[in-house]
Amino acid sequence: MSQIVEPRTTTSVRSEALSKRRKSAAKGFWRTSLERFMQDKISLVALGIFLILCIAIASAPVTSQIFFSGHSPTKPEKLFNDFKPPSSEYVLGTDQFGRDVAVRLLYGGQISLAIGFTVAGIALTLGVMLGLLAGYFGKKVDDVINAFVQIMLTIPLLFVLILLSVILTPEWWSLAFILGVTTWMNVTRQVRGLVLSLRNLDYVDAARVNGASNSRIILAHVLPNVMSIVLVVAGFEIANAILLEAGLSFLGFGVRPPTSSWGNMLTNALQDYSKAPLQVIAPGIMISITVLCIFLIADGLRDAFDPRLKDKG
Amino acid sequence: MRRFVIRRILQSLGLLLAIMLISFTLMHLAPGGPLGFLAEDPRISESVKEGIAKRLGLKDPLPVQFATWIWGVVRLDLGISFVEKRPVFDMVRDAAVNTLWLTLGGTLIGFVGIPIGVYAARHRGKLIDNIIRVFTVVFNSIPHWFLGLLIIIGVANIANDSGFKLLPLGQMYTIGQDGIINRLWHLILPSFLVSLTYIIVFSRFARSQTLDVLNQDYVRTANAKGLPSSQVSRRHVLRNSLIPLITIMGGLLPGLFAGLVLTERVLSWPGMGTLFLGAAGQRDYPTLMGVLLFISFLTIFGNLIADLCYGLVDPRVRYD
Repeated sequence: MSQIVEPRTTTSVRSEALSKRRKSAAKGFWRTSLERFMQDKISLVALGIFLILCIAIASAPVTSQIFFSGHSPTKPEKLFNDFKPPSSEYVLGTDQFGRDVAVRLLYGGQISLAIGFTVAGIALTLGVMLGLLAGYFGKKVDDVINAFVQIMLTIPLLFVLILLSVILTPEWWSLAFILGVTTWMNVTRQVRGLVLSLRNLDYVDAARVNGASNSRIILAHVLPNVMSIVLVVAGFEIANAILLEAGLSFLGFGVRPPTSSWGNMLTNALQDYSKAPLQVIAPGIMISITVLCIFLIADGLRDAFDPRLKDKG
Repeated sequence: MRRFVIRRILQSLGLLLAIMLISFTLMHLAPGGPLGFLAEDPRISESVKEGIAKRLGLKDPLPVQFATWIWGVVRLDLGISFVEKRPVFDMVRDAAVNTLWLTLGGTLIGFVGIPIGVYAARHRGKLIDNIIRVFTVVFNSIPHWFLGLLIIIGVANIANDSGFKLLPLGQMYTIGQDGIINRLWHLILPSFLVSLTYIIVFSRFARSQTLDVLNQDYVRTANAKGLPSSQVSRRHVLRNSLIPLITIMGGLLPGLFAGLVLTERVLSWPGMGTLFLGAAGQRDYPTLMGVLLFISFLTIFGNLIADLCYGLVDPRVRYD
């Protein structure tokens, strides 16, 4: 009897331990990553600031109504009101046409963020697609896509963007489209590299043996495993798009006045500085803070997804 | 090795041709074509425009025009600027020399990043490492041209208040006082701005490379057999961790040129960026093409040379 009871208890203990381990494993990759991310204070603060910025900017009409007396971003409120110092009515003063700098900053943020997100959306779609194809199929497909990436990387981006801007005089959305189709290469490289290491793993082989089609393997088995890297790259894409737009608009080849953007508010910075210092400093600080927050969030995500990377900086 | 070099050179030439084709196509996509800038001037009659177009060969079929242009490029003839009426090659050459000053100054200062990165790696996780990290993240987020604006404004304010000119506010030299010292003085701020990119990239790269190498078995062996740590770091760590830096430098070129456009604009530096911006504003088609070509050429051959050097300094790299 006892001989029979003995093994029973061990198996029950074993299965208990097993189920415990299962439970912790069942938390899953995303859940554990999220928990790690939530422990990272710097990233959380960055995320908080970024969300507040996004909400304030997305609801610019409401925000400007509440905090900035509902001034228009493009039309001056009254005549002879240029370069007013900060006051309770104009929190950051007025610009060379007598427009409220704070309100212009808010609406300019709409353009910057909209461009950032749109560019990232386009670049990620293109980049992930090509990266999956190149990494999964390899050989000829990989060669062709690689050559394409090489050519695109060699094109002097800012110069070509200036040229395109002269030729097409784009609106913000067409500008975002142009930026999107010219900045996907980094995404492709990252995704391709990861897919190369994934495609020979056992579970992909298993799917293949089961008779899954290529498209099913890519979409159901490979894509979910590159999503973490895509999320991190997305952050860098957004930040870089914001920086690129700001630079282009500053040069006068991006978003055109009277529409405000953080970049084009700085175009006349050197002439206007002595009259309205805040008009020069504020847009630059907004760009820097936004980009800094996004970088920190992306860094935090990368560390959360793969803690081994943490020390590599 | 020789086969690899030949193949890479051919590849580079092909790449250059592809980019030339793209920029050529872009030019002809513009409304009004390369002569679009004439359309805005009402004083020029149609027949004159026809004459100009014919003289510049713009009536030829596009492939012929492209071939003519390439043939010109091979003979280092990039055409005549519509606006300046000077050979584009001369304009590009002059601007390139000015930009070279910036890039050289920036790179030299940028090398400061390497010891910073190595130092951070050796003190990993300590306070100094974190401070360096914060600095690189912050300076990576501030657009460098905006930083340039702020510095200029600050310097101008000091000059206004106390009459003390800390730094010049732009240009390459003070008119009437051209000299080596005056030029170096004008070079300080722009090369600092350019160097920021290098410092950030170099220090990050040097840090992660050094960390990699520090964990290698041969470093442990060297330490274990009692080599003084200065010798370990010089002979075993530094040498091996800095090799890949060469490839990084090749890859940095295009981004650097993009940054130069903005820096040159902020500091009114008469380099490639300023030349291109001016030409873009006036739709000076031959100049735009010339600058684009020159920069693509530099980028492609920068990468090529980096690739070849990689094999020279690292015997483990095999070409096949």
